[in-house]
Amino acid sequence: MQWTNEQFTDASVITTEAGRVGLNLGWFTLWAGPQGMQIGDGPFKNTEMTLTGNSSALGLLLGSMCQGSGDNCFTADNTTFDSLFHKNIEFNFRQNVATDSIQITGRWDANTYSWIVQLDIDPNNPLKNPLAHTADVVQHWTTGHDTDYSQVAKRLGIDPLRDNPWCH
Amino acid sequence: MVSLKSLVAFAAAVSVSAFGLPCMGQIQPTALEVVNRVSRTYSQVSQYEAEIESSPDSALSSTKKMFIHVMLKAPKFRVETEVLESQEEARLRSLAVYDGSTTWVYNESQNTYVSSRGQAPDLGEVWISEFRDLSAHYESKGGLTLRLAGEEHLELEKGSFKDCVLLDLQYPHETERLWIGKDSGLVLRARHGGATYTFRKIELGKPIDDAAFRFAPPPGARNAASPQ
Repeated sequence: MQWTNEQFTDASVITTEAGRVGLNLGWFTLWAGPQGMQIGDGPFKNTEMTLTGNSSALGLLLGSMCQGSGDNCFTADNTTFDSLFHKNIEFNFRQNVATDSIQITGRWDANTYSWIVQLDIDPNNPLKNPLAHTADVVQHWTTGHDTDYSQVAKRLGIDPLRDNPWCH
Repeated sequence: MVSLKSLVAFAAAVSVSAFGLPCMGQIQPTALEVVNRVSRTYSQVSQYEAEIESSPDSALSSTKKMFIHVMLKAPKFRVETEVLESQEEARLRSLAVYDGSTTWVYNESQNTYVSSRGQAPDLGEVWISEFRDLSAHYESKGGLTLRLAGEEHLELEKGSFKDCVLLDLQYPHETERLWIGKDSGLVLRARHGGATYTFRKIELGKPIDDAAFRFAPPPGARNAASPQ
């Protein structure tokens, strides 16, 4: 599987941050092919990482999302724009921080008999900074450029090469 | 002997009775008056038109400026966006319309669109929704302090100034600042989430013709959700 530098950087930032906040993605595998790390290089195409796994993998992931307060918490998120682009979403979680917040959406895929999980990081959490998040979204629709993960990495203090968990 | 638990409960009760809010960080009473005024100004608004200019706080951003023209006649909305990118001279435009049953989003430079039936993401309310209940917004974000930070003579258009009070809302990882018109109670500028949003024009309750909320794909426009 050949990835571009941008795909590699974006995937590295997402997985590093997911690991930092304690998400257990260990039993999931990356969706085969370039769609495993889709780049939002168009007005209606989102940057997101796609993983697939069985019910045990999903159980571990859901179990790693705490229900209390703090940075490692997720809340149901029904305020996003996913209905425009994604169908049949069965769960939708959001890291409980105002900025650079991980979003996870998931659905059951009857064709592959597996759970398909998509992750991305939004510069502004729509539940905390709705105005700024909406501005980010309309900017994406207008320019065709989704989240710049090199900027996310700088804000989060992540070095995509050094911190990438796949290279160790 | 007074237990620590009862002292905490007493402090919380005093906080609620003094400020009309549950205990949530440090709230300056004069700031709370301003917050309540803003909430009263926006609470009943179901129709408005606004022109918003957004500038990123970081010079590294690929976007230099963004101009957003919003019209709301709840639940219908129209949002025109124009972006001036740092590396290019061209201005890029898009349009989002909710006509009451379908949301349309159109990208002008690519002449492509997507549409979604049924419940739409609310692009019309969102530009003012935080201001309807600022204290709830402050609480939900884990506010630490809410205070007045002075006054400013804000230039909205060349030569047109508005007297504003500055309201700082401090959170664990950022401080938001709002510029609030002294005469109107309107939020005229907001800085948060890595950008500053200036409301060059905002008219609450303005009548808007229904024609603004209709959309038909321009000739040759391609549905981006369909296979090419």
